[in-house]
Formats: sequence, structure tokens, C-alpha cells
Amino acid sequence: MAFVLTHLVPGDPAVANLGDRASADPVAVRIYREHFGLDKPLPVQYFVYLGNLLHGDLGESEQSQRPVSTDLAEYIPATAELAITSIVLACLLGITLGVIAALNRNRLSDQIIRVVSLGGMSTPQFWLALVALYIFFYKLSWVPGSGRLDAIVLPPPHLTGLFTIDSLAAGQFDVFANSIQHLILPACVLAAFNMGLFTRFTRSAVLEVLENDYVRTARAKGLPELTVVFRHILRAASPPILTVVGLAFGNVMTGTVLVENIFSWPGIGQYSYRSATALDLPAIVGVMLFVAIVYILVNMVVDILYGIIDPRVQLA
Amino acid sequence: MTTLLSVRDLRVWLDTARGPLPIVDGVSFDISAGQVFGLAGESGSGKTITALALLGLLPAGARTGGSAILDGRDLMTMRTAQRRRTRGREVAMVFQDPMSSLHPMLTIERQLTEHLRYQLGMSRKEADERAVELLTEVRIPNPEAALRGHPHQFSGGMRQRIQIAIALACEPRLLVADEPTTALDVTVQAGILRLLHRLCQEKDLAVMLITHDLGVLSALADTVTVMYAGRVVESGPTAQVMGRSRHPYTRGLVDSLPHPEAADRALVPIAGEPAGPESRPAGCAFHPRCRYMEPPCATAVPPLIRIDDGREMACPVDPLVASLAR
Amino acid sequence: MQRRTTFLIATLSVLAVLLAACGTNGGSTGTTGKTLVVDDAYTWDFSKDTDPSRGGVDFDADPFFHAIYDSLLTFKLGDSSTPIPLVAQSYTVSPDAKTFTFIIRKDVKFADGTPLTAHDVEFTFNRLLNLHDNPVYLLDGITSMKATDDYTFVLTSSVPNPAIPFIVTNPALGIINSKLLMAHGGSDAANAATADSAHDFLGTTSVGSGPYTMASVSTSEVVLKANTNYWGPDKPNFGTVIFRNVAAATQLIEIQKASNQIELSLSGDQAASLKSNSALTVTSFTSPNITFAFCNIKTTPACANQHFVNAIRYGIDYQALVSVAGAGSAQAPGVVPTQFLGALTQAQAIQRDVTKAKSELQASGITNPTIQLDYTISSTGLNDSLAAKIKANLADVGITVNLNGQPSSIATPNYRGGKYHLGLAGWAPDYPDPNDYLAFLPGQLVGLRAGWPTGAAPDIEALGARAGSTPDNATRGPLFQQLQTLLNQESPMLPLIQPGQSVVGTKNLTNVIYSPVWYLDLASIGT
Repeated sequence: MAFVLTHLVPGDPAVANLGDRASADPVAVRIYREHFGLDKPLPVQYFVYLGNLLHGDLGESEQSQRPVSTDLAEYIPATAELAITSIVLACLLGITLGVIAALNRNRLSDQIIRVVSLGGMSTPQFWLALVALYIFFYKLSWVPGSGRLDAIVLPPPHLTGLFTIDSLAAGQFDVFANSIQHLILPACVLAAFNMGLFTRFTRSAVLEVLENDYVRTARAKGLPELTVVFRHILRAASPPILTVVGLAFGNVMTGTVLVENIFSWPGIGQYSYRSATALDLPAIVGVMLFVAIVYILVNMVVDILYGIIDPRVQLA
Repeated sequence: MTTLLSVRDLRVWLDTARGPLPIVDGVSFDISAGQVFGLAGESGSGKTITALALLGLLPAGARTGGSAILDGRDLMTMRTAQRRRTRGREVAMVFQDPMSSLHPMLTIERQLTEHLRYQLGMSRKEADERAVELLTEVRIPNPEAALRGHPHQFSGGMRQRIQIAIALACEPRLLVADEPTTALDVTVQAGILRLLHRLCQEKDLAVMLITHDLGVLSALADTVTVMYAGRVVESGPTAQVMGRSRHPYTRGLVDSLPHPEAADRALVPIAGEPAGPESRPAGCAFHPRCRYMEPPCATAVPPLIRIDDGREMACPVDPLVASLAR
Repeated sequence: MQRRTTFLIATLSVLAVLLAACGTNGGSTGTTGKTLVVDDAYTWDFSKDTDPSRGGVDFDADPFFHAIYDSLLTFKLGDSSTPIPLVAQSYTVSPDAKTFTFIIRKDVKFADGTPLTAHDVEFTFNRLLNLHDNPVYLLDGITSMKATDDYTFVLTSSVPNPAIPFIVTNPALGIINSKLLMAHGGSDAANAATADSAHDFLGTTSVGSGPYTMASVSTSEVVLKANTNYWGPDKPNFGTVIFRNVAAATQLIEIQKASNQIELSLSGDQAASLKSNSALTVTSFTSPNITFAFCNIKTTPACANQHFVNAIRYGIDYQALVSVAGAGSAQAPGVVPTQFLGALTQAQAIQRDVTKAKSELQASGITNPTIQLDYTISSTGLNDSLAAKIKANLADVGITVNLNGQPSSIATPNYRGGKYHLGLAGWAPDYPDPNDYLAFLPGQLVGLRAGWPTGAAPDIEALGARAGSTPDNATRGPLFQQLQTLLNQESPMLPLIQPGQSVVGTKNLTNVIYSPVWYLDLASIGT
């Protein structure tokens, strides 16, 4: 499917990707096409691609001239670090705010949180990224600028590709601190939309749960309010929230394209953007496959969590 | 017989744009240890709100007045933290619907032991042992297995027993049971009521039994208070109130009961609808539905007047009350 | 009680956020010691651009190749008019401008210590030719490239080509350590396009003799380290140069707190907004890139009508386009950029003349013409602004223009395939010599894209051939001026502007000077 869609795009990759003069040189074009198998009819290309895919071979990127799988392996950890951090941030903030809003329904704090969450959802990420960089980097100097590390800091030895984890594993605490500093701002910007989303969903889910008698039962036991909120209310409200968190991985994937660009974050977002603008078909298909796998995995995890959270749900 | 809880002039109201809206309007009663106290009335009469006010579990926005003295301490003016410590340990509550009153996603063990561990500081092992004890006490078969279960694996009656076990866990002195049998089959009802009665006797527990079903009360309660539209209309020992009910509303409730000895006799429902808090008539709130209504009923709220041993009643039309009032 | 807990939760959340923020306080932003940071928003992947013979004509990679690979000849800083010796200590040109003999210095060493010989030069040129990748056109017309001894290299061209000394300055022709590369899969054989497997090796190691070596490369940054074995007299000022891939909007913010840093991607407006910052030096150059329009005869028959083309030519308000393009921009008087030999002067440039344009339109006999303007939507939005301006200009004349901006991946193949109607496109110099602009003539690369086949304008073609093969620059220059004057009278080519190029650096940096060939000479940047 992904293969067909990307090949339906008008435009000749050889002409788009070669240099101005080389694109008019039949020999250069022929070499390019042979190299990437573009000289064969489309159905043949498709079966060659499928055959390779079965061996875990995603083909070679026309831009980087490296196997797409190598490219993905290089970019995925950066995006994973950013995306997971942002989802965790969005969950922590969004769910907390959503609970506060629900418990204070229609009071001032609820109104303020509504404005904050709507703001998070409706602010363009591109703009937010620039403004955040301007304020927190330029004006306040709270965070360093773009990139995953300061220019002079060397990356930690490769283990997972997640700099925070790798630096800790290597005992390089200064690198760890630096990577956290670089991570926090893009992660927050990327989290803004989902924070708003989670707040809205948590609020309505909690409001629904609050109607239930078992909340009153929990209070009648004399449990402290935090226990009631976290053990009883949030537990019951979690299935719809979990669904949204699962879907949020999709938002994050699209969000990375802009945020990674502004923060010079070498991840899948930048890679897919570059691949798309260069009509780098193997790379585009590779990214689409990756995103599809993420979706499937996230959905699987969500389904499993449903079963753990709610014993009434039977795993099929 | 010692008075455990003494409620005086309990009021609950909501602040609305058009001024305070009373829900419960000056209710007073006493509850003694080892006794079942019945609170009766149609839905909307303020019974449940009264109970929730005692536990401090009123919905947000509700305001309260009056006093409820438990052991010399006024529940209504307690600080919130202190109030919370009384819940479960001194005053516990069992709710009407066993389907929705237990958390569907938490194990019975968790729901039965979390307050034991928090309120009484028990270890997990101690709490589990106590939980088995409690389940045995409320006659749950195979209590160890039941602890590992979830609410949806139990029948309604079993769930209500579990609820009672949860309420009893911290050995409260007053158990408030709000319509504990309404949602259950008739056959199961009797078992629950017997359980409540036994616990009351064995543990010297005060039980406040809230129900619209006077039949339940006549079998179980030592004293009965009947509420209508947020006010007490009649109260006293069960035998007097039920056997020789005087207030037209109480009498209406009794007449609407199916009678075991006269199954062929038609039930006599009370005409009209009970008045909600927004549309309470002036004077005696019952007067629009009352067969004995006289002009003063529509203007002045009738005071509660003691008419014989332990019985109080609010009806100016009743000849006895009228003579006493004179 | 509920309220108090809520308050607690709220406080905790705020604290968490503050802690997160404070935890990052004092993040170091400066670079220490001798590290230079250069930011560029590049779209080309550096994985290709570690091989000069493949990526060496890519503008984004040129500063980096230039710093690592020495070429035969070079230019003095800020003067691209005369090639000067580098690896070749001298060169001679045969009178027919067909044979070029380069004498190689004997003291040049590669970064690994291997001496550089004419055989390395031969390998480099052969490999570039046989890989047949982007830069291959640099050797168009070359019939032989030979090391006649260890320190003599001879190039022979089939036609007179006085541009050769300019061409060999190109970073794509930076000399490669042939022994080292061949040991790692490099090949200059005729089948190099398939036989050469040095790509992975070049991704980790550079094989040049320049002042810098490549320390690491990733898509986010390339790190250069000073070459400790550098043979030249002047060691580079900075021990480390970090070439980062940073979006323009981010560059604008970051440069304002940086030290030892240069931003290459700021637009004229962005750069102008930094002029008041006393810690920065903002330099705007007129780039040697030509933005031009053309009227495609093949897709739009009206373009064959010279009166109609002239109506467009005189209808366009060039000064308005210059002001749209921002600081540093200038009108392009002809297809050859003003910096190069043979360029026309601004006084010879076409001026807008609406009356003339209208009369030309009338003379064309075409009534109420409508034409589609095709162009690439650029990330800076410049093309869109120019296109909108042209539409408005031509409306004054009575020509209706429909705008058709497309993303590069679609527009580029259309442009190169000759499918544009009225086209808006750009040309960056491949080497700083007017011969590069013969591409605009009938039957040539750009000419064909305008549907202008060989034989369409014999006078222009003959003049072009003569100008391109005249060895003597004193004669060649005026010939090119004559050629462009003709092009401005009777060709479908409409040179518009040379956009401005802004470089912003921190104040302490010196020699941040723009080069039309390699953009920046990293090694000469000082403090």
C-alpha cells in the first residue's frame, strides 16, 4: 500500500535528485536508475521490494545511499527519546490538570485549565517552538539551544542511541545533564498539544467516574483524598485516557517533523521531511512502515493494558 | 441504653442565585448503640442527604447547619482531616446499589483492606487475616478465594455482604445503611436484613437504616423517624409509629404497604407526587396531598410536638396534637 | 478537604515544572577555546556529501570539501577573477586553449602523511569522470587527463576551453589520496560507477590534504579537526569546526547568544533585523546565483513571437523584484552574474517600460494573452513573492498570468523536463566563468528547458561558440557582453535578479568572506 501510494506521486526521482547538469546527462540518469532499480517496470519493482522486505531489507535511500534500515536505526533513537519524553510529560501534566479541573468543575481553576489546554491544542507547534526557544533560550537562558547536545559535547558511547540512557550507562553525568537540558524544551513543545488533549479527556473521564457510587464508597472509608483520586478515580477513568494516549503517538509523529526541524533534532521527523521533499521513495516507504509498526505496537500495548486495568475485559 | 449520636436541627441547603434552597430543614434525632434506627420517607425526602451530611460526603456546593454530637464531639463543625478519620472508624456507610458501589476494577482484597491498612496501620498480612474474618462474618463462602476476586464475579446479595464487610472493617460504632436491600431480590433481602440485625446485636453497633419501605423497618427498627420534604413529620418507637400511626403521611405510607393478612385488599397509594426541594409548598409541605387539610396547614409550618412516650409528630389537624398545642 | 488536596496537586505540578526548568539552568551555550560553529540549513544528506567526486558541486557541502581537499588551483580570498596556485605551483595553457599543464608542488602531504603526486591528481579526475555522478559535467569535453611524471599533470580538451583553470578550483576536484582510497574500495576505472565501493569508508574518513580533516559526520553535524600534518604555511585558526544543520528560524535566535559562530541561512530580512546587534557582523553579498524567467516556446507557442516576449521583458519591474528579494540583491543585467568576466553592467540592464511593453504586445498581434507561470515553492517564500510581483507587473501590460507554484519534488522534474510555460528558475554557477552560461543558449541545457532548440538563433549560437573558445580573456569578456546584449534582445531568456546572500557572524570573527565557489573558506576565518 505504502509502496503504491508513494510511487503514484508525479515526479521522477532521478531527475529530482540528481544535480542540475547531471539530470540532463543520460549516462548519469541511467546509472542512477540502475542503481536503485528504477529501470524495471513498477510491478517488478514492487515484488523485488517485497522480497527484500521479507529479509528485513528496506532498500537503499536515494539520498544517503545507505540502507534505509541503517538510516532508520540512526534516527529512531533520537525521535524515540524526544517522543517518549514528550508523551510522559504530556501525561503527567495533562492528567494532573484534567483531574484538578474535574474535581473543581466550573470553578476558577477549571476555567484556567480549560484555557491552558485549549491553548496547548490550538497553538501551532512551529510558532510555539520558536517562541519557546526565544524565551527560554534567548531571554532566560534556562536551556541551551538546538541540537541533542552542545556542539562541543561529544555523544556518549552508542548503546541504545538514547543519549540520556547511554550517558548514564557510561557514567558521563555531565553529558547526561547536557542531554536532559537539550531534551526538555523540544519535548515540552511537542507535549503541548497532547497535554491539552489529555487534560480534556481526563477531565471528562474523571467527571464521568465521579458520578459513580464507588467513589463515595472510597470516601466513606475515610481514605485520604489523594488515594481516592489516584487509586479509585484515575484507575476507573484510565481506559478512555489510555486510548487517547495511544492515539497521541500519532500526533507526536507528525509533530516531530516541525519540532525536530526547529530544534535541529536529528530524528525521523527531519528524515521523513527530507525524504519527502527529495522523492526518496525507499526512505519514505521505510518511514511509513516504521510509523505503521509503532501504531500496531502501541495498539497492542494499549489492548494489553486494558486487560490489566480492567479485569472485566477479556483478552481475546 | 446510651445515646451514641445526637442530631439537632440539622440543615442542608444549596446556595442558589435565588437564595438558599433548603434540602434538609431542621432534622433532629438520637441513635443509641445496639439499636436499629429507621429513617423512612419517599425518595426526595432528604433521608440520604441527611446521612451524607453526617459523614461529610455531601456533593460540592451543599452547605450545612445544626449539630450532630458523637461522643461529645460535633461532627458538623469538625475540621476536615479529623472528620475523615471518623469515616470508616466511627461512622461507616453502606450504599444502595451493590452493583455500582464497589469499584469494578479493584480486587475485593484491595477494597476490603486499604482502609484497614491506612486507618488502623495494619500490615498486609494482618489486614488479609482480618479481611477473611470479615468475609466469614458476613457469610461469604470461601473467603480466601473471594479476596482475589473482582466485584463482577459476585451476585448482588454477595456484593452487598461484601459492602457491609467493608463498612464494618474498622469497627465503626454507627453503620449507616442507605436502602441496603432495595436493589436486591426479595429472597436475598431477608438475609441481608438478618445480617444487619445480628451485627447490631453482637457488636453493640448502632445501625441507621434508611429506607422507603416501612415493611423493612417494622421488622427491624427499634425507633423510626419519618421524613417528608426535608422535615421530620413523625418519630418514635417503631411499635407506636407503625402500629398506631397518626400523621396522615405516615398513615398513607403504612396503607400503601402490601398486607400479609389481607392479600385481597387493594393497596392505597398516596395521591399526588412528593414535593421536590425546588417546589416545596409553604406551611406543612404535605398539605396539597393531605386528605385532612385545613386552611392553617397551608400557611404555618407545624412544629414537632411530643404526644406520648417517645413519640413526636407535626400535624396541627390531629386532634391530639391540637389539644396539646392549645 | 477536596480543595486542599487540589491545591496540593497543583502546587506539586508547578514545583515539578519549575524543578524541570531550574534543573536546566545555567546550560552552557558558548563554545570554548578554538571551536568554530557554522550553522546551515541544508537539505542535502551529508552521507553522500562525504565524497567530493559525488557531492562536490553541492553548495551546502562545498565549504566542508574545500577545507578538507586541496584543489590544483584556488582563488585569493574575496577575489574569484584569477585562479592562483595551490597544489599546482604553476600551470601553462597552450595557445589553442586545449592543453593545460599543471606542475605539482613537491611538498604537499595528505593528512596521513603520504606525499601528494600527479598520480593522485590523475586518479581524482579519472574517478570523478567514471563515477558519473553530479559533478561529472566539470570534465565535459576533456579528452585526456594524464600524469606525465610524478609532478606533472596534463589535461587536454577537445575544444578550446579557457575556463579550465577556473573549473579545477572546484571542491569536487579536490585531490584524493589515491593509495588510501584504493585500499578501501576506491576505483577510477571505467566501471567505477559500479565498482567503486569507497562510500562507507568516506563516511568515516576523509582523504584530502587540506587544512582540516573530517572527525565525525552525522546528519545533524559534521565535525572538522585541524589537520596536524598540514603542509601549508598557514595553520587554521580554529582547532575544531562544527558544521551544524540548523533551521534558519533557529539560527536567528541562536546567533544572538553565541560566540565563534556563523549563520549561513538567514534571509535578507532576518539578517537585517540583526544589524543593530553590536555583538554581530552582518554581511550581505550579492550572490552569483541568477534568478531568471523564460518563455517556453515548446509549451507556449506565443513565446516564439519576439514581440510577445519583449512585452514581458519590458513589462517586468526589475527594481521591484530587487526590493522584494531584500538586502544584497541586485538586478541581473544578463545571464552572467555581475561578479564574473563578461558580465553586463547595471547600466546595460533592461529597464521597465510599460508603454514599450504595450506597443510590443500590440505588435505581436496577440490579444488578451493568458500565460501560466510555473515555479518551485521555496522554503523562504522568495519565489512566491517574485511570482506575485511578476503577475501584477504583467497585468499592467495586459497579460494575464496564472501562478502555478509546486513543491520542488514535482516542479523540478517539470522544469528540467521542459514542461514549464512561463518559468521562474535559478542557476547557481558551477564554476566562476562565463562559459558556464553557454547553457542558456539554443540546444543547450537551459535553452532546451525553454524549448529553444539548436538552430533556433544561429547568430547567437555562433557568437556563443566563439566566445566560449576564445583563449584570451581580454577578448572573451567583450564577446560575452555582446552575446548577452543579443540574448536580451531576441531570446526567450529573461534574467531577473541576483538574490542577496547574508552571512551573520559573531563580531570577533575575521575573514568571513563570501566565495561564489565554496561559500566560506573555513581555514582562513580568524579571530
